[in-house]
Amino acid sequence: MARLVKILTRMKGYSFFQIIQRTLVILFPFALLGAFAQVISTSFLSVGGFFGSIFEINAWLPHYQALRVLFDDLSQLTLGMLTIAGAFEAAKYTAKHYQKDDQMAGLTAAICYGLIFFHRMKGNTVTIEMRYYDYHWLLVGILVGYLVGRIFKRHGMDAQEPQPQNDLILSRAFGALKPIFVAVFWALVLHAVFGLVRYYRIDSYVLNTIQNFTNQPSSFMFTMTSALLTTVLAWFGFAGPLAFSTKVVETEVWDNLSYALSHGSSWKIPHPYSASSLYHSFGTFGGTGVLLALVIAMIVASHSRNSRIVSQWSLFPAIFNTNFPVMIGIPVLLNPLYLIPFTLMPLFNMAVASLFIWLKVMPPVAYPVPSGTPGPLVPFIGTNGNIMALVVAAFILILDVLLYLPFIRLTENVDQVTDQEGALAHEAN
Amino acid sequence: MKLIKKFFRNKKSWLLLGIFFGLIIILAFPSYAWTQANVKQMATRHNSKMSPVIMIPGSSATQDRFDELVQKINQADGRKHSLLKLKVMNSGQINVTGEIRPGDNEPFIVVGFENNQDGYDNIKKESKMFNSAFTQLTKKYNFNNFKAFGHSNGGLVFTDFLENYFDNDEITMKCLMTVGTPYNFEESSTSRKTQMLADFIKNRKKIPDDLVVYSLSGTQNYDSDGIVPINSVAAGKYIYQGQAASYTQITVSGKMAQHSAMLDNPQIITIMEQYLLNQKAKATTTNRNLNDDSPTTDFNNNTGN
Repeated sequence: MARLVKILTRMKGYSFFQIIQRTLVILFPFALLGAFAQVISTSFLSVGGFFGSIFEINAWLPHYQALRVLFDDLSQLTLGMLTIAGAFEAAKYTAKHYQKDDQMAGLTAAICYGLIFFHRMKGNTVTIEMRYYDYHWLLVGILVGYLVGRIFKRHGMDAQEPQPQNDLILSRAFGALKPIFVAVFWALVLHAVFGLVRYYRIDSYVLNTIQNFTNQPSSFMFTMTSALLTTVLAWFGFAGPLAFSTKVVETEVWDNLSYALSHGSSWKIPHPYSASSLYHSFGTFGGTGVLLALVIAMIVASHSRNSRIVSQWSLFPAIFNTNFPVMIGIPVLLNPLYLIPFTLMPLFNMAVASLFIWLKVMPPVAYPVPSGTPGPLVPFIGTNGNIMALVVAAFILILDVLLYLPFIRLTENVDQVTDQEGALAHEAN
Repeated sequence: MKLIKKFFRNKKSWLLLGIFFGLIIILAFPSYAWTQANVKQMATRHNSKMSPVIMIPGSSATQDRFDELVQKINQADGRKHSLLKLKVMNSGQINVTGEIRPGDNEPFIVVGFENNQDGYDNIKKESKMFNSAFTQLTKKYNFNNFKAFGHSNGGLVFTDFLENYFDNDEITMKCLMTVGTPYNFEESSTSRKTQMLADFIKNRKKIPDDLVVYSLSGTQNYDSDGIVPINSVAAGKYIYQGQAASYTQITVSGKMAQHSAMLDNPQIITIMEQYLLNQKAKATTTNRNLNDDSPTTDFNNNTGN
């Protein structure tokens, strides 16, 4: 244990790692705002959403579609642009770390990142694919920001005392010209490379390969493998194979539903252990990584005031399976301390749920569930209101909370050691 | 133990978690009601044995256009299909006459329009109006599959509806039969494509690939049924052939092969019974259900009888 703490403490000491952590935390308020907007849009204001369907929102709320567009826009401009902000912050912290002009570095990184993925589509209309700017690409954004920061380290002037005189600001601007040119040059190179990638549709080819991986009949092993791949990719911030729905998955879901509808119950459906139903019903309480359990565990047991506040704010979106406020605020994203529970806990849940299905304690999930349904209610609705499914879901959630507790302790130990070392280093100076 | 004590001292977190679990339990009740109602509705549709024939008359004809045809079919097969007629007014209001007898699994439903003029613009309007009538029908009768029959421009309305509106996982159009439908309006040459045909070809991918299509045409002389050029009917192949599960062209000739007379033609009635309607023996012995119901194989089996 002590050795593990030591290794993790050393890892936390690396500058790149610190920059990632700081960048993520500073983005938290925007992620939170975007997550609230997204939950309200998908769960409350859309006809297929949880509140939208059970309270028939379209029947009594006038202009609900206009309202939804409003919240959609808000989440588009917060979550949808998070990676640009991430590039800005990462470059700023990197430059600051090396005592360079951090404002200039931040702006340069934001522009460079925008440039790399900015391609006008064929034809006269200007359409830019926005998906490269949303939170899924945060890791890439931070990397770009970090590299721009390193360019400023190499070519930039040292930071000066801020003085509000025009001459000084101008000299600061000219001083930054060289690193800006270098950064923009490399961004243009990447822009061209990536343009070629998209021209030859390599990006959609990669996407198809990932999708095709799940395009096979489900078995228990396959279900677990694709779930693991999904959670590991999610830890890096990307969407994994189970985030997509494929032909085979659709056929299985439809077979299950059709059987359940003809026979009046879902007990004997043909594919009881299908990846999509197990993963989406039991593996995603609070979004990928069962982060609802982490949020609850933090609220209950964290000694750190900040973590508790982050968790309290993140509880609401986490109930509706929107998890990036926690991903970013704790942070869980790219955090080695949470790699193991984040990637394995969904698999654990699926295994436990499969066991209960195998023991015939509850039927498998077959019926449709509205989007944005609170995690523990998904199996309940998906089994047409089987009370045992609700009990099993609650049982699994409580297990998850208990399983997250040791990892919270571990994090706090590492933080404590880091703080002590920081204090020692301070005294030594 | 220490942990729990500490936790209970923190009032705010206690309150939050209380709200959380309370919320889940409270929400469980409406969730239960919703899923029960939803599953019941889905099961009703899924297990429904009703498979209506929905018919659209040609331009200038009203919802009463098929009265005689239905009567003749009923005389011929003795199954007493009921006849429901809808008229969609320009205001969007839908007037209903006739009714579906309880237990009738294969009623005829005719959808006519107040505005029944010719022309592509009007086809588009009618297709939109048909969509609202169709939505109403699916809600009321909960069928999971249906057959479509369009005379003349009625076939164009169905084509436009398939390409622009029909998008439903739970309901299949099993068969589309068009009689004298001018897919290229009055153009007798397929090298001159009307705007409508060009649009239909452009959006053909939207046509379900499990749909069985029959296009019937009549010939009074060697090139038209008196009103519609045979090449305009044949232009349907550019839309359906290769996209639908099968596309079959049938040409009738003789003195009742005139465009409007075709609906009285005993040959056409025989073809409808053979290819469009449920087969007698099959309808009484097996329950139709959405999954084992592949229209292509049905058709092959039926021709063997």
